[in-house]
Amino acid sequence: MITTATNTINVSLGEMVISEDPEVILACYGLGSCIGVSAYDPVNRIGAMIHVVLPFGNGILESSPAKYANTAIPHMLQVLEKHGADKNRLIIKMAGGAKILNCIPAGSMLDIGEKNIIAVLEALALHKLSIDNQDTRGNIGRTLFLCIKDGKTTVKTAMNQTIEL
Amino acid sequence: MRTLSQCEQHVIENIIKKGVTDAVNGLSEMIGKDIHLSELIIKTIPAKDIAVTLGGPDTTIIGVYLAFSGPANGHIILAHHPNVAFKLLDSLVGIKNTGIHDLSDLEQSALGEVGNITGTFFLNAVANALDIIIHPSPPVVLIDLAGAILDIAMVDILQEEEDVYMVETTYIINEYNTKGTFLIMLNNSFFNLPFIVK
Repeated sequence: MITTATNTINVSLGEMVISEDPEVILACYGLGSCIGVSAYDPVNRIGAMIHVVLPFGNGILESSPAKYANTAIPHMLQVLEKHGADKNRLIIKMAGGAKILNCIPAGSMLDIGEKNIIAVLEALALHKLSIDNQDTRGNIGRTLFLCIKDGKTTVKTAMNQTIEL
Repeated sequence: MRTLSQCEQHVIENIIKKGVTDAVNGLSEMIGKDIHLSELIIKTIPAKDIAVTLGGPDTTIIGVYLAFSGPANGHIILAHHPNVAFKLLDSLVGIKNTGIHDLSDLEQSALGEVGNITGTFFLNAVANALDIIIHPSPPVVLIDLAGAILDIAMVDILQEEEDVYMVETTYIINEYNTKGTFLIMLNNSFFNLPFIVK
């Protein structure tokens, strides 16, 4: 069980945070249709987390690469490798991609959560990577935690349910 | 978002103030309690900071969400701490607080009506001031993390902007000595309207 610690770092909308500090816990709070993706190298004990908002950029905005799934994944991999992580050792997990509004038909254009999930999986596949575990879809909000000390990844919901990925 | 002239800003703020005052009066009338408008903040903030207005992204809230469309598009969230929402339910339909739980049809319907009244009072004021027609969506009642509820609006607004133009209203329900938040998030279309008040 992860409690709120002073060394918990909030990875906000469209942000990426990387850490090698064993005292740090990375967290994507309140994920709805957004997706939190964590990647952890258990040998070097280095981890990163991205808070993906949308599947793809529309070219209008010069945004943070972590905002869009198609640019966030390569950006995170690049930064992790630059800091000594081995791409092939990474344990990758994700949470979110929910359809908070039940009235949106599943798989429709408005189902951004599903589109985000697909875009993350496709971006990982381009790097010959896949998700090790996930807690996605449904219609609940989630918070994703990654403990840098041991790579433990946990998801917590509004109803205080906690699961370890 | 296009840059607004000082005059346009002034017009927008006056329209919003009128709309929010009408909304809070409508809510007061509906629940039969005195409500005091304690704070009205109109500002542009980075999207990543918006959840702070609802107590942080991992705060559990009961929110009533409405979208509105027409010449002006945007999102409205009426947010309460669960205990406050249950007090509202008690006064509206006599349902006692039994702790955080999935909301029954009756609870959803009553809270939906609260959002409906508040949202439409606000939108009517805006529509009348600008002589336009605005269509609100049916209200959706959600009990979830604030960040997750805000995502509904953010995925729309962040397709075109990095910042959010928002109206944060805090009101005190006197008898309960507690507060709620009425959050309005406007997308780009709103700022392309001719701000000529009839």
